[in-house]
Amino acid sequence: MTTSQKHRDFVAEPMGEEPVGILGKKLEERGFDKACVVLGQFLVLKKDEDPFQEWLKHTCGANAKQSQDCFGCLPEGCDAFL
Amino acid sequence: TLGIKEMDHMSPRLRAFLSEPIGEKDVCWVDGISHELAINLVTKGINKAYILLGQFLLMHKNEAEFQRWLICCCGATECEAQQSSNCLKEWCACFL
Repeated sequence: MTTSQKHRDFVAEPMGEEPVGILGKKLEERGFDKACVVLGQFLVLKKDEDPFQEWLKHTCGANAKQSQDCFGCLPEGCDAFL
Repeated sequence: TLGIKEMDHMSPRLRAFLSEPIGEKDVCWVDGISHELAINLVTKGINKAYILLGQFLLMHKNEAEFQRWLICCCGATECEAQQSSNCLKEWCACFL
């Protein structure tokens, strides 16, 4: 499976203060302006894919592909730093 | 990363928590979380340290807000709240 450059960049760097790229604007409007805040949401949902994707769709109207892409980055980011 | 000097001032529990990734550690591993508080947290479904970390991140790593939540919603004492928010703040500084 090929991963996008954005995905590779996201996973390679420590997750900190960089703005959320993929659904950035919408998440920003709802206060999720940093990657670590979206990570927080993911952890609070016990790293569970379905609730997280549901949350993403509900919070910023992400479609199935967008929410899957966003979810796809997170577990790898987690393994690297958690 | 923390130097030897900083590590010296830490409690053994905090040092242990910061010495490795959070993984699947139970919530009682977080410095400041007493046995009683851990029970309260587990009843609320917060059984792993990473879930508490998630809550801290959701609150934009605002220690005061996190402490207020831990005291009001989870029955923490002020001391427990301060110790655990400090622990999570230090963890973020090390790992994020």
